Amino acid sequence: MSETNTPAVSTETETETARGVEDVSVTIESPAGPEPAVPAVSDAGELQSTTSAWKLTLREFLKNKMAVAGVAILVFFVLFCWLGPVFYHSNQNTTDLLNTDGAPGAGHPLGTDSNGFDIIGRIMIGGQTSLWIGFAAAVIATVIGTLWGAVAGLLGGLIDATLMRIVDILLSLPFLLVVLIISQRYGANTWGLIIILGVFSWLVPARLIRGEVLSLKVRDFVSAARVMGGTNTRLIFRHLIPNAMGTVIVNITFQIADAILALAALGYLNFGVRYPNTDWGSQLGDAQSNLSNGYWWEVFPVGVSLVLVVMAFNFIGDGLRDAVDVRLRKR
Amino acid sequence: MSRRNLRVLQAAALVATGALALSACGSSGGSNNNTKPNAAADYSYGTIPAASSNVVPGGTLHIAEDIGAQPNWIMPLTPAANSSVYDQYQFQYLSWRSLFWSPKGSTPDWDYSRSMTDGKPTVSADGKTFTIKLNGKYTWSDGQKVTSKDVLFWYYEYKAAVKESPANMGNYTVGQFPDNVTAVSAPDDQTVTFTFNQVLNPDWVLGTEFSQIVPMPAHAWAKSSDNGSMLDYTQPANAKAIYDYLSAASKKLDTYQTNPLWQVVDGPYKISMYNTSTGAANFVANKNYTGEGKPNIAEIDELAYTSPTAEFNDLQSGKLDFGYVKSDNYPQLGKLKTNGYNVYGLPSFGFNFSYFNFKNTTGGWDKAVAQLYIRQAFAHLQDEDAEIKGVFKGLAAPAYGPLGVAPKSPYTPESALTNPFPFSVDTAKQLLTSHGWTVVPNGTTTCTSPGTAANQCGAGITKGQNLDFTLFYTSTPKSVGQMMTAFAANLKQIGVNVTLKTDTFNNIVTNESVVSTPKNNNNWGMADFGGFTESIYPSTINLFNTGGSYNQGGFSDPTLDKLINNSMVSPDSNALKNEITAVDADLPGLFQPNEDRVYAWSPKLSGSTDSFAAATQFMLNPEDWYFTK
Repeated sequence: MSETNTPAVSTETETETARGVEDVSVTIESPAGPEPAVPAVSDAGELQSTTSAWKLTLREFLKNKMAVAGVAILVFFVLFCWLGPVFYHSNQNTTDLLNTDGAPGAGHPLGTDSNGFDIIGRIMIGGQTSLWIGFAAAVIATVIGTLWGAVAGLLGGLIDATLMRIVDILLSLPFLLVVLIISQRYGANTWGLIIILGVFSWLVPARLIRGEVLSLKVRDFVSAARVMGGTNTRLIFRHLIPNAMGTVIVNITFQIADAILALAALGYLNFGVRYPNTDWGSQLGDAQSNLSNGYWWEVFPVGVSLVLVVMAFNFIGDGLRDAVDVRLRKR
Repeated sequence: MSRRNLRVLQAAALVATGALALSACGSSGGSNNNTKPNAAADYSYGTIPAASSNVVPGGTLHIAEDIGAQPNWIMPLTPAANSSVYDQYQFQYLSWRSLFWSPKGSTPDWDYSRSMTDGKPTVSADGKTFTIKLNGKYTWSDGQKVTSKDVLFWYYEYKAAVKESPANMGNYTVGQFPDNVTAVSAPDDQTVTFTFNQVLNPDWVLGTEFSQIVPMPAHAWAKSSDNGSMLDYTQPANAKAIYDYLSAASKKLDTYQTNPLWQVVDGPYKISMYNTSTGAANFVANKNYTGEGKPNIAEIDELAYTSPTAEFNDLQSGKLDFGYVKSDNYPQLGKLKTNGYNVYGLPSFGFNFSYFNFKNTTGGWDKAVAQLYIRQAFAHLQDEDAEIKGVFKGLAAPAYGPLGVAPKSPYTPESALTNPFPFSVDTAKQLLTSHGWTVVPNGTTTCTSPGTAANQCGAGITKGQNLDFTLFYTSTPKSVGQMMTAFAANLKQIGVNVTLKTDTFNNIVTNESVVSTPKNNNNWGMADFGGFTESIYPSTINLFNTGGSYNQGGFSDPTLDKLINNSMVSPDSNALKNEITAVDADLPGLFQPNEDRVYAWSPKLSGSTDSFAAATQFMLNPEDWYFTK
């Protein structure tokens, strides 16, 4: 947000904007009354009349070096996983048992795995699966959680209590155990894992959005909408969720990171996707024996990739949180 | 202990009948860490040191249970669903010994020094009545002698069990033992006679029928409730009531250590602890043991593991005194040797395979795999040479049927020594295209010429039908996953898409079986839990005959049934060779290399060389072991 020394800033409007109020611009207005004599050039420089909230957010985000690094890492891995196979050709369909556990060398810069697959190519297609499942599961979790939290927060009373106690009960179940059991029965493919991870990851977003809605629903613009005959559905979709979008977006980045880690845990425990697909967790599944066998190339490259991507999402999430929350912005 | 068909996670080749000079088994495997192991010409690995004379009585022996195969049935009448070498050979038989014992070390022969008899049964002139003489060597832990009545008790309970359900005994086939027994008697305390309804091959009777006999303590178990009186078990109603009582007790895992039934044993050890969560079990020495060997070691702790590497780490750290080494850790065999551990491996007397489900009607799968040319096409997509090199690091012997290439059995047909279905994607493709299939590599192959003519898909296969299926395999050891992934990748090259799913050994044995769990018939197309051990007379009865108790895929071929039956009745050894040749060609499953069963043990643990060699055949003989100074 541009700094100005004019005292005529509407603090209420600024606060609302920071929380993502439906008016997506900040309007800095002069006080009513006769125009004072305005110098040709302000002491504080040229006065901007309007700045997009998203631009403000972006500006803040770009000031956060860790967040920018996170974006760079993520962009790198997205390009590596999806464009990489276009330039780096390896056979990821046919196993090569005569060349299993091959050390890095000519033809296979990072060696081969226990099925004879080229490691670099394996990381590429494993990354596609991990990123896609992570993203899709996070979207599903966020959609469910947002709707659940918004309904609970807006309606309140018994419905709120009931919905949130359901969340509490589900939160008390060990996530990994439940997901392992379900994935053993229905998982082992990309869509199965997306649904399993998505359906069991919406609890935290639900709590966050409920809290946000509880503070939003007493605001004037919500009251105004209600007085004008707005239904609960309209309130949720036109007023509450759009204004909670900052929280939603920040949350989704962490959800993606969590989903990728959960998928890695499933894969490590041998519950991940199977041939012809693979994911990073499944590639790490034999890490214990591979490391002791001296096959470091089957562990470290994919392990580092996983760490970097999860770290990148966390950096991005932190950056976004700082950027959308006006209280956390640097002044 | 006798050998018969039991499930194993991994099995290996038959050991030739004849002496295996253990001290001359060449061995190799490097002394440096992470070196590639090398098998000797007989596919053995490592050496067994001579027994030490420095016996230190007592101590606790820590050994490893196999992964996902924890024992869960204690009574020596084992249902098909619970039947495995891990449950019977390595758990039950510590406490209850079989009438006829085999192998002799690692050699598939009868070991009469450990048996309750001193020789083969005598056969009557008409060839139908077999007389078994007990040698009186064994005594129950409560002081009573093991007698012929205990043999009869086992027999009558066996009858009651299979009458209730054929699935109550793993090695039961309808119409055969005990259905084919017309009379039994115990003329005296040390003699038992069985009369059969037809003339049978004596080797078949011993290897397939009598090898199952595990005398049970009639004086302690012939009751139908905890405090009930002893019943006349020869009466069918009583026998059923007794079986139901014993069977119910065997299902109560949490009472294994407290139930007085399981404390009456004739083996060298009796159970003292069972962990229902993990399947780990402890045994203490039976101080009244009178059989071969002496239980010098006071306690045996069988530890449960969830991964081969966890077990290997315990071997390395010295927590385990005796344990297996899976292919996952073959590159580290040298580390164990550096620590002074003894290492020895040998293919076991049996076979590994992945089997077809001939009862899955989903998408016409049963009709497809009923066609021999389709099974042949699949067989051409399994590259055994590559599996031996890449998966087993050289520690495995080729096997193209139930009898492998090495060691060679007297019953191994010449045709079993060469691969009838060498790896060839082109041949597999040709087999399909010449039978009316349109092969789409990396796509979906479909039948485009249905019908029963020689160049058409075959009976029951519809136009547009594909060959996609679900394959279940055991999640450990890693070698099974490697082979199944390679197989799926090769199938993909001819347009067959496989959905791979993993499960534990115990679950696959139970769930992917048309015998144990027919309700799952339409859920799977192929499965792989490992394989089977073989009888000394290695007929495939129970395995591949119609209605066989271990015929997990429901294979049925009238011609093979006749050959199996012929092996049963004919004294001609060629009968069995003909049966094995037919199985090789019939492909009820896809046979795999027989991996060495590699074991490692502490330098402080010693015993007879035979007892350690027997471990490669899944046998535990801790009554021959002791700690040294």
